[in-house]
Amino acid sequence: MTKDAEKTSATRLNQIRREWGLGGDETTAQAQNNALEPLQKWLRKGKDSPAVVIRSVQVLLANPETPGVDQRRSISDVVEQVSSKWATAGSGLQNLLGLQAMLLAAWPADLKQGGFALVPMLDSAWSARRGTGRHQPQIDQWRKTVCQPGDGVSTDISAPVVGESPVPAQPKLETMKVNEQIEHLRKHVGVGWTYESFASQLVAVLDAYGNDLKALSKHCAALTGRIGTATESIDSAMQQFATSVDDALQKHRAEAEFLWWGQARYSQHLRKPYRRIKDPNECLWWMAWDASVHALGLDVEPAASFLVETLFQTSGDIHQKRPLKQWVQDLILVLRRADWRPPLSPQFKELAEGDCLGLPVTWARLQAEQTDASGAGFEERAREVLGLDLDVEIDRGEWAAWILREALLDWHFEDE
Amino acid sequence: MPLPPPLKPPRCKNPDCTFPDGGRCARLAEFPDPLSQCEDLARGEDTSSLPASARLLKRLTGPRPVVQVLGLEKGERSAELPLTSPEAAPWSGRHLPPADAERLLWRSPARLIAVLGPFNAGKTSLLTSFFLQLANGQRGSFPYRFASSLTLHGFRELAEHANRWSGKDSEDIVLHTVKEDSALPGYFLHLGLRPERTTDDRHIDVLLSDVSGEWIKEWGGKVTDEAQRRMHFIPRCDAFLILADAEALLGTSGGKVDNETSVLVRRVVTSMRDAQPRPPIAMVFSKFDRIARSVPPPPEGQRSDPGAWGLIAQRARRTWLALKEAERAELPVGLFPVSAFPNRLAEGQPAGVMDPFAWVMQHADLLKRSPSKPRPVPEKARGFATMRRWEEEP
Repeated sequence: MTKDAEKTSATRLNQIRREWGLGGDETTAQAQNNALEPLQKWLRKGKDSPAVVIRSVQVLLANPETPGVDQRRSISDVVEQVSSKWATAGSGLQNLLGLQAMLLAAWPADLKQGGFALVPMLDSAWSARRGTGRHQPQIDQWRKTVCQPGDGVSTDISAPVVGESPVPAQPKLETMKVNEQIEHLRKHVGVGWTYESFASQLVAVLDAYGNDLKALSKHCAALTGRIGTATESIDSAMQQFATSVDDALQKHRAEAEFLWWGQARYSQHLRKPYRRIKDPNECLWWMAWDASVHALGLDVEPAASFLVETLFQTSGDIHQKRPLKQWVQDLILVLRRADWRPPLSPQFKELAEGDCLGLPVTWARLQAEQTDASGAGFEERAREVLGLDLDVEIDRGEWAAWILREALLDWHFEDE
Repeated sequence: MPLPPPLKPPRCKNPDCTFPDGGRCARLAEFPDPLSQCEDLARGEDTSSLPASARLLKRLTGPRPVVQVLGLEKGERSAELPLTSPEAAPWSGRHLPPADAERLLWRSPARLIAVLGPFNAGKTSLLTSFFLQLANGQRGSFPYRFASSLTLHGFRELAEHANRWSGKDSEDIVLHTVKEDSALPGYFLHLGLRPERTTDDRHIDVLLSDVSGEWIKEWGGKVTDEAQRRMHFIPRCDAFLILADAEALLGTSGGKVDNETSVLVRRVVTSMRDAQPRPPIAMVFSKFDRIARSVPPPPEGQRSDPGAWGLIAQRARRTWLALKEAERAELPVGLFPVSAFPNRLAEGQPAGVMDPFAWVMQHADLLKRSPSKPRPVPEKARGFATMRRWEEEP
């Protein structure tokens, strides 16, 4: 991490402080600035560790005004990273808003791959989070930044441009030059060359030939080395080319399969067309789940859009609005009734059991596994665990996309 | 052999300790036998004849930075409370100093409401009446329940003093908030509120400024460095309650009150012109019960019409112009007639106290759903990859 990056984070933190009206004494400000460095380091691990990204987004989703929010696993996981430099960061409800400001300031905007590619899959929860006018603009700006496609994003499925060689330009091979000294005998022709002197001249000529052969041999060795290097480069470039072609083909194949799925509208799991599934909530769940199977290698947003279009063509009703809590409750019932439920990947399950903030679909899947759990106090439990506004009205299309995003998140952990 | 002097009752300088009154030593974990071990405990001046509150204050008295304590009997007004003593509890329960308010702002999006007005406009009375009604469950139009307070002791002292008011206009209902010179002024009252809606489980911190009218006047007019420092919290405010004494407006000093109030409104508008979102200004005409016979309170739907305010609108012409300026600067403006203490506390029927608070909280607690973010299509994307969100469709 460069000094410039640190300076930028500190500057950004100051800007957020100003906009959010956070003052504070110099000691606190210094402690927070010092804590930025370990926080940045930890966040950068998110490239290889999706859990870091999920926990960080969960902290940003947390509402500091919700009682008991400081007891959440996601909060304590982040607090641990800064508590050595900022002693009061994690005591009780202390400074949660400040912690969110620091996360926004320290977020590595340049990283969009690996774990950071999962951020768009957590985007649904923002629709069920309400914030104050003072704090919202910074959050919105952050969302805009993290959802901008970056260079080489794994979800970029653009085809290579025809006419451009994917093989990188190689240095030109130098051809061996002819040694001019091989012809030096000729210069004696015009200066009285005699037989007697031939032996000594012959020795000189042979020496010269010997030297020439050594030089030639050296050149040959060098040439062999260069040919080897060039072959390796060509081989590596060909491999890269083959990989990129293979990736593109795989994505195109995935795209084609997804499009076929959208045309057929047939559930592989239930072995029947979606139009024959009577329960609309069951149909919605299996459509979103099946879509996630096909959309794994694809960009999330086009996949979500395609799913909703397919849903529209199947049932037509994508604008039906209901409170989030009702969608969650119905999903639990559908899953409990199902003969088979797709299991959560072990790593994601562990993460969600630690803290399920902002993950209603995953929570519903966890709840459905506990078939003996009663429905009493469902709303209170859901509100407490999910940390979202459950009265927010979500339309059917939005909910289908929400299921798809969380299912994709689960699939990515399965791949880990 | 002379007898030893009689033992005097023990006293403790730790404000959290109840040992001398037969309770528990605050440092029991360190000193299992407080009577012989605790260094805070001492035997000295017999104070047992004093009332409990006076004994507590005596214990707290020390040569350290002080805050003014309200609610004492006359003659005891300038009792001193140590703020930075290492033995003292981390908070006093009285007015919060800026540092404590700052800590609160770091932990949650607390709503900061500035209660401003000229000297004797009734700022502290309004706050006291508001607290009493809220704590008593008489919320009226205010859609929040009382949940907590970090300055409960401060409110209690204000309420106690108000309870001693005989109902005469010549007496102070609450003690005048002094223009203290302490380095650590305490001038925020805190309330923790719970929304009325049972599904909304938030605990909302609200900070109410209680600054002396003299500082407010200096900030509004001359803007000295010291006044600027005292009022540094203004740019952070989520809402403003500006009070004007309705009785004074109609009296001989009406022009002065009108002038001071209009200067204050303009100062707020200047300070908040670029703020996002724009904070609301609730213009409160206090002590309305005293003029209610000559100026009937305007009905709720007609308050923005100057004609409905009769004499008040005529006498507060400059204030009205300043409020128009505020509206032009896109600051929401509301006008409220209020009677915080029309009668003695035991008899009084306060009127309209909750309305300005309910109105400013509508703005200060306006929560917005995060809008759907338009997803940029990656460069060179074709066909399927260019599909994006459907919500933006009509």
